[in-house]
Amino acid sequence: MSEVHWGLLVAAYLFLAGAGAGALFISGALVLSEKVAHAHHWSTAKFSAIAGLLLLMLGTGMIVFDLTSFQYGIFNGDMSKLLRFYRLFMTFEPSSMMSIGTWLLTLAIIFALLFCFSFKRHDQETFTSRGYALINLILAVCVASYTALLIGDIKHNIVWSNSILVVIFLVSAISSGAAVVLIVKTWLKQSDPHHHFAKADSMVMLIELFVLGIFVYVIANVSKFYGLDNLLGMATSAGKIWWLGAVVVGLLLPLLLNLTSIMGRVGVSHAKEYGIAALTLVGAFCLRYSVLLAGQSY
Amino acid sequence: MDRRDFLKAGSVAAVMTTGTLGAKAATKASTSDAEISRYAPTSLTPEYYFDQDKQLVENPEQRFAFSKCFGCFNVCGARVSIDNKTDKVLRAVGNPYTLTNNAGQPFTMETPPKEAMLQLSAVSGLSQSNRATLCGRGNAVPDAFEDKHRITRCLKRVGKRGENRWQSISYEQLLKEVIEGGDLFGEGKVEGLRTIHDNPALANPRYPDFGPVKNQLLVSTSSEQGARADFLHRFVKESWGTPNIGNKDSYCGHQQVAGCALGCFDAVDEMALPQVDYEETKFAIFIGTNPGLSGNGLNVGSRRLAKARSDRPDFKYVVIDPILRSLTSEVDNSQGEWLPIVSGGDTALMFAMMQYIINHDRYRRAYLEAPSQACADAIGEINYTNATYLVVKEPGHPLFNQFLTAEACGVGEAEIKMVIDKATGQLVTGESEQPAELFYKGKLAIGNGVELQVETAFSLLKHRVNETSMRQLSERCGISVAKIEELAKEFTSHGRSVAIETNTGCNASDGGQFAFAMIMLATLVGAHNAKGGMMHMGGVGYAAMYDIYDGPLYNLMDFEHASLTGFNAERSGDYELSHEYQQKLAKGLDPYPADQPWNNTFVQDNSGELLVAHANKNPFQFKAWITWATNPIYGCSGLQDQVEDSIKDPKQLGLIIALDPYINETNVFADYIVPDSLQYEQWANSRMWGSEFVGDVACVPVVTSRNVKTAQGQEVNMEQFLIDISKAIGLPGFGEKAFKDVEGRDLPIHEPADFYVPLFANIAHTGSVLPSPTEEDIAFTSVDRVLPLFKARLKPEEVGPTAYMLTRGGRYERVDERYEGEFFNPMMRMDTQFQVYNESLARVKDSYSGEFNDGQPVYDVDRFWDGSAVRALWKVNEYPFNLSTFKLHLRSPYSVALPRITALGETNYIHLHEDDAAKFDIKDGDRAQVLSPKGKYIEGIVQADKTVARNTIVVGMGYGHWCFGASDLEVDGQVIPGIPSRGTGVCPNPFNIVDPSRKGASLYRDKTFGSTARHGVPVAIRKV
Amino acid sequence: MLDRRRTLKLLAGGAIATTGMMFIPADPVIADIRRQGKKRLAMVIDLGRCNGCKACVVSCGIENGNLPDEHRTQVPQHSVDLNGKQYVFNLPLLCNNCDKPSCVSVCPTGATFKREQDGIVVVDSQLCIGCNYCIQACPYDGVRFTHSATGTVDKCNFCIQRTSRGLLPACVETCTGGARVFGDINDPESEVSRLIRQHRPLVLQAGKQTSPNVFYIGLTQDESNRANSINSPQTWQR
Repeated sequence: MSEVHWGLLVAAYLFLAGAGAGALFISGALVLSEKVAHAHHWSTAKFSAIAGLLLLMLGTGMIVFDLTSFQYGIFNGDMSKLLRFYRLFMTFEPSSMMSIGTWLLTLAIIFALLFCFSFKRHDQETFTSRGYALINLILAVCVASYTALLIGDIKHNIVWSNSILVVIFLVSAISSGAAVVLIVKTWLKQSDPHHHFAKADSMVMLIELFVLGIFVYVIANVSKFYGLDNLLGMATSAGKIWWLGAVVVGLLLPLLLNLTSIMGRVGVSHAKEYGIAALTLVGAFCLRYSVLLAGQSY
Repeated sequence: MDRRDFLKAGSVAAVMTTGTLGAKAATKASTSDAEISRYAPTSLTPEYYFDQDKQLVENPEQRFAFSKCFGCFNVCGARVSIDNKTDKVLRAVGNPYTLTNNAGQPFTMETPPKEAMLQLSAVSGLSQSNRATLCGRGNAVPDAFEDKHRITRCLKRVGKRGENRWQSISYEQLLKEVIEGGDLFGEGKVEGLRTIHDNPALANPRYPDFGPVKNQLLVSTSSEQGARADFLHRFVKESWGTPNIGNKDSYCGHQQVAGCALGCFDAVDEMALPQVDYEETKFAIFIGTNPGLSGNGLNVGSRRLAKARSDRPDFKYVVIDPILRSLTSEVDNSQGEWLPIVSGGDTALMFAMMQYIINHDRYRRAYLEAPSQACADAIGEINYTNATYLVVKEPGHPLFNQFLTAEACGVGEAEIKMVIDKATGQLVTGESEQPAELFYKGKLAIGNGVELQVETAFSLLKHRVNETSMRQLSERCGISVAKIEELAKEFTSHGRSVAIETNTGCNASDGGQFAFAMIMLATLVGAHNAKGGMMHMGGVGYAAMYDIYDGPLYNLMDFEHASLTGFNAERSGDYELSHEYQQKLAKGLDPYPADQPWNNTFVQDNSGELLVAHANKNPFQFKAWITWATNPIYGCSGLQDQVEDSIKDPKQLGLIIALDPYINETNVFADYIVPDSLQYEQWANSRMWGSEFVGDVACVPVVTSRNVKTAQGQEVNMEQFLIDISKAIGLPGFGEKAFKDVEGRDLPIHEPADFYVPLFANIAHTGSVLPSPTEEDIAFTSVDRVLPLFKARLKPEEVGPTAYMLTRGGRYERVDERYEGEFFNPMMRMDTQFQVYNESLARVKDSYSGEFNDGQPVYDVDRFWDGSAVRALWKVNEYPFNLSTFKLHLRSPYSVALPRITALGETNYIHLHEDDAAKFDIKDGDRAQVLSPKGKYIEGIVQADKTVARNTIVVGMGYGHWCFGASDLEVDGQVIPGIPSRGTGVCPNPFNIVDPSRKGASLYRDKTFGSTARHGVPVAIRKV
Repeated sequence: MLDRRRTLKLLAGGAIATTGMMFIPADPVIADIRRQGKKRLAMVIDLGRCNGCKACVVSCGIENGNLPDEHRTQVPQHSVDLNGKQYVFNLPLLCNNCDKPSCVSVCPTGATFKREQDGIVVVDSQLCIGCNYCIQACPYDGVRFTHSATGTVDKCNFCIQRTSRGLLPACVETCTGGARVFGDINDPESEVSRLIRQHRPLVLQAGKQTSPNVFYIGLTQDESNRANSINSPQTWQR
């Protein structure tokens, strides 16, 4: 029996839901802004919305995979256990953040789907899905916050029950959403000679670095208060993943790459863009994974 | 001295426990079965429940039965629930009628079983303090039946001995091969049991006093198996006729039982093992035992301790042991204390306490001054001692070191001893009703003008305990002088209401002397048989109290017994009666030392020493070996490498037959395995160790054995095998005319029931005849399933009382009044003359030196058989530690086969004090090797903290198996893989020392009794 | 399993305290429960009578069909130094069947809930999806776990199959020291009520505000504040 009840799959869930929400958020923002009138922004918004939708669905899949009844169903060929997750949809438990999240994700997926379809029905000139965009924007913020609130609702957990996590996960969701959008843009072969994206991205990363710093400070203090080794210290596996994965790979390296582009006033190569995006996404995953582990390691 | 003389049959007290039961009734309606199946999908369904009217409603899919627990050797009563469909025991708990499961208040025999279950239930609203429990091992036993390594077929060896490869053969083929012999393994001709038995020649003409060839059958077993062991002994001694039957007691801790008896009886071959009277004692010392964790069972021992320490503020206890264990809880830190003692330092502590008590006159003077029962009665004591008896100290006098007798003084018989009257100073007989002089030493005119140097036993004791200084004694045991004085003061501050108890944990070469000294401590304060003092009647069963094999209905021993001649091969008896001694005298040689040690105190029946004799071919090697439910190669300290080669070699030992459900480290060498039944499948009747009152657990097989059947359809087990080989060879006591009833009619034994049914009838009709049970009792306890077996063998009027016993899982004599004044009532007393000087011991010679033993406890360094000091050979600088071992409370000889037990601890540890460990650069959690002077080592994980005595290394037992399912087993070419969790940890026995002063193979011995010793021996440690 | 660091943390006094902690007696909890006036099943464990024998652990596993290494109850043991003397500390752990359970509110399917009629917190194995949220929410580490035979969450439910049928929980029935006592805390005549009156026991981690229904006699305030785990390594082999 492992004492880590929530591991890789839940981290993947939190990450995918966050990235998906981030992508939808950016897509919605593009639609709400006037920029969508430009063809390349329109297709960016469109494909980002599709990517966001897929990520949300994939994330939901992850959480289903993580359910022990689902795994039991697979290993024992028990269909009733395999499909047991339908129980989530048979009730609404307002006291359970997971129940709230289930319905929230369901709504988010439905509206993302509608949003995506709205791109199909219209071309960029006649595009009028501002309503859907707004709903998606709001739901994206809710979903991203929810990924933090899900673990934040564990009141006695000295790592998780920390309100700054909501901000961290939200910012991280936007930056990983941005990474998704960047991949979409790069894939669409849209260049961004004015570094608008890189600048905006760097800004989000700097904000993220700042809130992460606060979190590290709080956890170090809390650990000390309870007489524990620093839960995010390098001696722990959570700490290693945090510092190397979330901070160095996920923030410092992309920042460095962005800054060199901005400072050097050179166009960002596609390879570099893919690289930045990949690093950001790895970092966002590591962030969630290390927080999950740290909260289960004492 | 026979303790039966001091006891009389008690009767079952007629206290019906009915009356109103308070509290609210449980209602089945409140929670539906459907709900339960959702909330507790993997839980058992109870075997019964109580409805709104508190009526017991049985579960038709299950049945209920009483049985015996065999999770260890404490033999507690069990109640089990059995699934009717699978015939599987689902769960086992304690039997509320038995005495080991309940502190104070077992249910009366009159309580109907359903009523008993009601009283144990929640709806009764009764106090939960009377629950009937089993310990962790007992609860885990139901898993044993499905064990993949359990043997259920008859097996014959394939390949060499010990390879653990087998083929299954029919029972009939097995019988034929072991009886008739032949070239069974392509290794040459093997003598069958028939040839061995029928050969009248001497086993070894050089040693004619060791009997004929049939003595070359060795049988090994373990004790505490009650009637089943009696069945085996009946076969070995009375039917076959070999003295060579070994058991485990003498390598377990027998010398302490024998040593205690030295202080209780004028004999050297008695047994005593007093218990603390938890209910009333003010101060109890547990030395070399943790209450309930070794010996006297957990269900009663720790339960009563727990009750005493939480209910009685005037109760205090000290556990003196090299290692802290689970029963000195921090919650009771004002009442209980653990005191670390250096392994092997126990006698030193006893002497130090005695020194303080005697020198400070803190002993119970009036009690000790009483020379006779009459005097004791007059001064309000229940027993007396021989403290005032005069010992002749005149060298050369025939009574030298014996008591001065009335005969020698010309005033009476030799049995009457002499004392000095306290008031007049006159020499009078020990029958005097007046107090006698406790301290006298000097020349004494005994009449006829003869003057003799004499000294009272007590004066000698005072001298003895002052031979070594308090400081030296303190150093030896590692307990400060101040603490020793504190202990001695406390022990002498509560009158007779103090007690000291031991159990197999003081197993150095002076274990017998330690126990003698320990009893002496209790004698000093008159605690024997006293309320709050020493309870001597623990664990007495019907077999010990009554002749249950000899009437009142059936005389199971009434047949022509086989002749039994010769000493046993481990030389139990008087060396001076031996052929060797006579030959040496005839040749004008010094008869001392003897060639090999003799047991001229206690008959050890030591499986280990019998195998050592075999390995040494002295007096002879065994031709056949039957081993049943025992494992000396794993369990006997030092044995393995001494004897294994001589066991493995078919040329040295022709035939090995194991009767066992498991292949263990010993019977893995067998040629044939006869599967034995597991508990719950067995007939059983036994005393209950740790029980205060007379009582036996008795049960029939409650589930069908998984074992194969004979061609006649009988279950194969130990009994059936012995019956069938006896019938084939024509041994008396089995077959058609196996025994008689009281009218003299011959009765047969063809299967186990033929033996146990009349035995049970005897017990049920001993003393007062039990009543008959109701139909409801019989049906509820599943006795109806076996009733036909009883009806077929008993007279109609005998069936009822016998069945009554089974509906209660045994027979128990309840005692309603434990005490009589300041003492136990007569039924619970062992009234005897307590021995300050044991004359019998002073008449026994050491087989090495030829010198007489001392009549009083001796404090000495550890010595080998030849008298040389152990530490002179293995010096402290080379081997700085003393070894100690202990019984882990979840581990027993069988519990390694229980997955719920192995799951509770991956490994045992090498325990030592952190400061000692630091000297060798070892920390808690490191791996280290413990090195024995024998050149062997054990390697394991170190636990180094403050919970171990200094200079001591402690290793728990029950781990480190290499058989018993730990290794692969091959049957008919199919490999059953070993289970890794069974082989973890270390076993400290094989690596332990033997006695280099003996010739050839040997074991390290207790100086007084010859039992195998394992504690206080030199070891070293090395970090890996 | 024999991870030294964890051993040290969980056993050698390094286990974490929940807060700075002032004295929190169990009285308010009991008063709260009593105020409801309903049947409330509870267990009182007298640590002075616990001898660490683990009969409860084994009987629980047999009764409830758990694998040998899956435990609804466990008795972590370790040594304690009191004024230079060494003692042992045996602490039976099980689900506290709290009055304000933190596991119940987080359950997304309503599978785990507190029963009205007796206060037992149950898991409905037909509703549980195995999200482990309740395991995360429970401050008593290890009392909830995924049963390997069902894939759903399992825990001590005071042997509901027995206690709703007029019988005692398996662990209580076989407690060799008589340390575990079970009954209705709202029945003033019950043995648990009597013990609570006499001894004023403590609960574990009162600071978590879950109002446990398992009460400990002989527990010190400091010990009650520690977060012990049912899954502590079993290194006390004595």
